[in-house]
Amino acid sequence: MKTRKRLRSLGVNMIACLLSLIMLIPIVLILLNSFKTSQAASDMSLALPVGGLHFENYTLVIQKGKLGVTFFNSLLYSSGSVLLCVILSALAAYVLSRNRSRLHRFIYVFIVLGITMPINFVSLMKVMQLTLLQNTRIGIILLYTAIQLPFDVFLIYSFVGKIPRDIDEAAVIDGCTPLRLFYSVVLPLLKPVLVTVMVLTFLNTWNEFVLPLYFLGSSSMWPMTLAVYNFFGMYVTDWNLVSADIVLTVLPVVIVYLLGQKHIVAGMTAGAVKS
Amino acid sequence: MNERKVYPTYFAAGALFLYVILYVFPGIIGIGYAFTDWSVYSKELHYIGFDNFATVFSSNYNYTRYITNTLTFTVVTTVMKNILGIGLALMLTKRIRFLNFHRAVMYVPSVLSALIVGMIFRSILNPKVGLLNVTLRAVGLDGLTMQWLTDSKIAFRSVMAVDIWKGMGYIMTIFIAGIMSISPMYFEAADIDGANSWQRFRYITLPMLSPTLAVTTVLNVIYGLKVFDMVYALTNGGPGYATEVLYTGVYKEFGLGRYAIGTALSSIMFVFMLVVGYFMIRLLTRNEESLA
Amino acid sequence: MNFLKKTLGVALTLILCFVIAGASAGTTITYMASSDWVMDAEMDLGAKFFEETGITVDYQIVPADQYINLLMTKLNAGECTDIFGSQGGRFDIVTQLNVEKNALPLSGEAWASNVDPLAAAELSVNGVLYGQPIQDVSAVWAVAYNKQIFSDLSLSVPTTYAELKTICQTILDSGITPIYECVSDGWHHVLWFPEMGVALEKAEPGLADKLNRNETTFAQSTAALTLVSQIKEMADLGYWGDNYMANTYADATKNIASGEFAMFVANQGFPSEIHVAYPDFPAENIGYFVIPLLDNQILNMNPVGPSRFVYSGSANADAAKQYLAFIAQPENLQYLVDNVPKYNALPYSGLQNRYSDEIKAFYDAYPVHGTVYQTLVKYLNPQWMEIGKELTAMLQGDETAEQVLANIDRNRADQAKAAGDAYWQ
Repeated sequence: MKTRKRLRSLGVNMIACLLSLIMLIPIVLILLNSFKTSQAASDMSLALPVGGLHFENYTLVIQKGKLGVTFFNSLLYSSGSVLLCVILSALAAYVLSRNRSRLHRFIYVFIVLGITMPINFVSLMKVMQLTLLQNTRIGIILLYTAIQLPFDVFLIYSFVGKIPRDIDEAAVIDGCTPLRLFYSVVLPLLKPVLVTVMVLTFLNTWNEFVLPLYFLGSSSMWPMTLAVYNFFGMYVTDWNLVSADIVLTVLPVVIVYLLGQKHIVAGMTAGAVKS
Repeated sequence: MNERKVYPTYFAAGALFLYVILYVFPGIIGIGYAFTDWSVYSKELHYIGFDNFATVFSSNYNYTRYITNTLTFTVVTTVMKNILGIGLALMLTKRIRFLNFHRAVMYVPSVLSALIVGMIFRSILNPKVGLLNVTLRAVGLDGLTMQWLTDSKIAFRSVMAVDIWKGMGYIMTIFIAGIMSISPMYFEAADIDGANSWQRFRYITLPMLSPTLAVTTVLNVIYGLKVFDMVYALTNGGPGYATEVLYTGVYKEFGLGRYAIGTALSSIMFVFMLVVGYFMIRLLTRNEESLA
Repeated sequence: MNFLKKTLGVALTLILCFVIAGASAGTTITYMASSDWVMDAEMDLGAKFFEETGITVDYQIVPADQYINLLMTKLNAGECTDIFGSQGGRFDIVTQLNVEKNALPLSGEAWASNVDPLAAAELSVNGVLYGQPIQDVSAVWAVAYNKQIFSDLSLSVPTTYAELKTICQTILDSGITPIYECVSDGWHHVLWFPEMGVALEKAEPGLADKLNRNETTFAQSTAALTLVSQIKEMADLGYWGDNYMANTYADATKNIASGEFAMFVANQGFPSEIHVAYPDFPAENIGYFVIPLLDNQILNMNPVGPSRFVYSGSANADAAKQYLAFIAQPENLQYLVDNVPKYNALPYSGLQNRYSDEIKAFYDAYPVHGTVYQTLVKYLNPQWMEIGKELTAMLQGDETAEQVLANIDRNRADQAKAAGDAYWQ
C-alpha cells in the first residue's frame, strides 16, 4: 500500500515536471538562440550556443530595434491606461454596485456587454480623427482604457458587492461627502481587486499590438511589441536577433507577472469564483 | 441614507463617456456602413439594403467558412482548455514537489503576447527545420512529422493546439482557486464512506466546480469568438483560406478596401456577440444578483 | 495602499515627462514600406540625409504579407506616413491608390525628368508624375538555375514546358530538389501566373484588351486554364520539393547556394545577392532562362516596380520631397546601384549599370519582348495576394484550377464595379 502510494506520487511528480518542461521549451529555445550567431540560429534548434555567448546580439537589437524608446512608450501606455482604468472603473463600479437603481443596472449591463464587443477599425479611425486623438499618445492611452473598462468594471463590481454597507452608513453619519467616502473609506478596501485590475490591464496593454499599428503613425511612438513585429519584418533571416528582441520584450512582462502573481490569482478568484 | 446622493451617477460618467465615444459609437456607425456600397474605389455612398449580407452568406465567397471556423475554434478550445485546465488543477492541488514552480510555469504562456507566441511557434512548427519535426525524426517517429501550419488539412488544428497551449494555464489557475474553495469536509465525509478518487471527483469536485466551470466557459467562449492575434501571427488565415476566422476576415476586407463587406461581417459578429454576450453575462452575474 | 499610490505616482511622472519631451522634437519624416523595399544602403543614405539637413527619416518596415492591408487601411482612413511605398502601374495608381487624391504631384521636381520614360509612364496620371521608382525595373522574373548542377547532369536550357518537366525529373532523380518555391510569403508563387501573361497574349492575341473591356474572362481562356494547371502539376510532381509551403523568400539565397535546389524564379540581381551572402558561390554560376510554362519564349518585361509616393495629407511634405530629391541625386543613385546586390541598374538616366556578361547574354537570347499581365490587365495587381491565396488553395487541393480562375474573375469584377468602371455597368 505504501509503496503503491509512493509510486503514484512519483508518477504525478514526473508528469508535472514533464508538463512544465513542455511549457518551458519554447521559452528556453528563444533564450538559447538569442546567444547564437545568425547562421547557428537559422535552424532554431535546442543545441547550446558554440563559441561563446554572443551578447552583441543584444546590444545590436537595442540599437536597431529602437528598444529604448519603445520600452518607454510601452511603459507609458501601460501605466497610463492602468491609471485611467483603475480610477474610472473603480468609480463607476462602486456607484453602480452600491445603488442598484433601474438606470444603474442598465448602465452596468450596457458597459459590461462591451466585454464581448468587436472593434470596427475603420469607423474607429474616423472617430479618432474627429476627436483629434489619432496619432497621439493620449489617444492610444484613452483607447486602451476604453476597451478594457468593461472587464475592469465587471471585476470591481462584484468585489464591491462583498464589502459591507454598514461601513458606508457609519461614514455618512460622520459627515463624509460622497467623494471622501469613496476615496478614504471604500478605495482602501478595494485594494486587492484594484491590484488585479492593475496587473491585468498592464499585461494586456503591453502585449497588444494591433491598435498602435492603426492609430499611431510614427514609429517613434510605437510600443515594444509592435517594434518586435517591425524588427521581424526587417530581419526575418536573423533568428538570433529576433530571439534577442523577443527576450527583451518579454522580460518586463514576466517580471510584472512574477511580482504580481499572487494578486493576479487572488483577483481572478475574486472576480471569477463564486463562493 | 439617500442612495442617490451618497452614490451619485456622475461617478460613472467618466467611464461611460470614454466607453461610448471610443467603443460603442464606432460600432454603431459601422453597422450603418454595412448597408452601403462603401469601398476604397467608390466616390460616393449608396444605400444598397441587405446586399452585403447576401454576399456574406452566398456560396460564391468563403465567408461562411470564416463563420464555421470561428465556431469550431470556439467550441474546441473551450472544451479542451476546460478539460486540460481541470486536469492540471487537480494535479497541482495535490502534494507534489515544487508546486508553486509548476503553477507559475503553467501560467507563464498566458502572459506572453500572442504575437510573440505566434512567432516562436512558426519556427517550432516549420516542417523542415522546426524543433517539433526535428525531434520527431530524431526519435524515429518520422511518420508523425507533418506540415503543421502549411497543410490546409491540419493547419487549423495546429493553430487551436497552440492557442490551447497558451491559454490552459490561465484556466487552470481559476480552477485551482475553485478547488481550494471546496470545503475539506466533503472529502473527509467521502473518505469515511470509502469513496475512490474517481468517485470523489465525479460526485464532489465536479459538482462543486460547476460555477467555476460556468465562468471559464464564458471567458473561453468570448475569447474564442473574438480570436484574432493568434491566427494572425501563426498563419494569417492561410494556407489558402483554411484558417481564416471572422476577425482576420474583417481585417482583410478592410485592407482590400471592401469596407462595406468588412463592416457587414463586423456587424454580424456584433449582433451575434451581443446575443451570446448577453446570456453569458447573465450567467456570470446570476450568482451575484442573488447575493445582493 | 502604498503600492497603489507609488504606481500611480510613477505613471503620472512618466506622462508629464513625455508631454514635455514630445514638445521639443526636430523634424522627422515617416516612410512606410514593405520588407525588402528599403535596403541597408538606402538607410545609409538616410543617415547622410540627416547629417545634411537635420531631418530624421523614420523607416517603418512591415512584413510583406501584411503590407497592402495596412497601407490601404491607412490611406483610406486619411492617415498615412509622409512617404509610402507602393507598386506602380498606370491603372492601379488610379483605381487602387487614387494618387490624384492621396499623393502629391512630383513632375515639378528637378529629378523628375531623369526617370526612365517607360517607368515614368507607369507612375503618371494624365502626364503628371506621382511616384519615384525604388528598384531596378529592367530585371525580369525568370528562372535562375545553378549552372554547375545543369552541366553535371548534362542538361540544357528548356524551351518548352515538356522539356522543363524532363529536366526537373532528371534533377529530382539525382537527389536535388528542382525548384525552390516559397509560398509562405504569399507573393512569390503568384509570379508564375501574371508574369506568363506574355504567353497568354501570344496564345490568344488581344486577350488583355478583351479582359479590360469585360468582353471575356480568365475562366473562358483555355490558355489560362492550362497555365494554372501546369503550376499545380509542377508542385504535384514534387518538382517544388515537399517544403514549398513553408519556405521563405528570405532563405532563397541560402538554399540555392547550398546546392539543395537547382532553380528559382528570380530577378537578375539574384546572382550577386547569393555571392554577397555566400562568397564561396560565384555569381557566374547562375544562368537564366525565361519561364517556359505554355512553352513561352518571350521575355516578360515589366516597367512597374515598388515606388515612393509623398502622401498628400503629409504635414512634412517639403521635407519628404527633399528626401526624394536627395535619393535621386546621381551620386546617391549610383551608390544604391553599387551597394545593393540585387540592383543591376535603376530606371534613371546617366547611371552606370552593372550587368554581367552572363545577364547581357540572357537578355540577348530572347529578342521578342512582351509586357506582363499585372501591368497590362486592369484589377489584377491589386489582388496579387488574393491570387496567392487562391493558388495556395489549389495547391492544397481545396480548389480546382477552374475555381481559381473564376474567383480571380469575380474579384476583378467586384473591384471594377466598385470603381465605377464603365465596362462593368
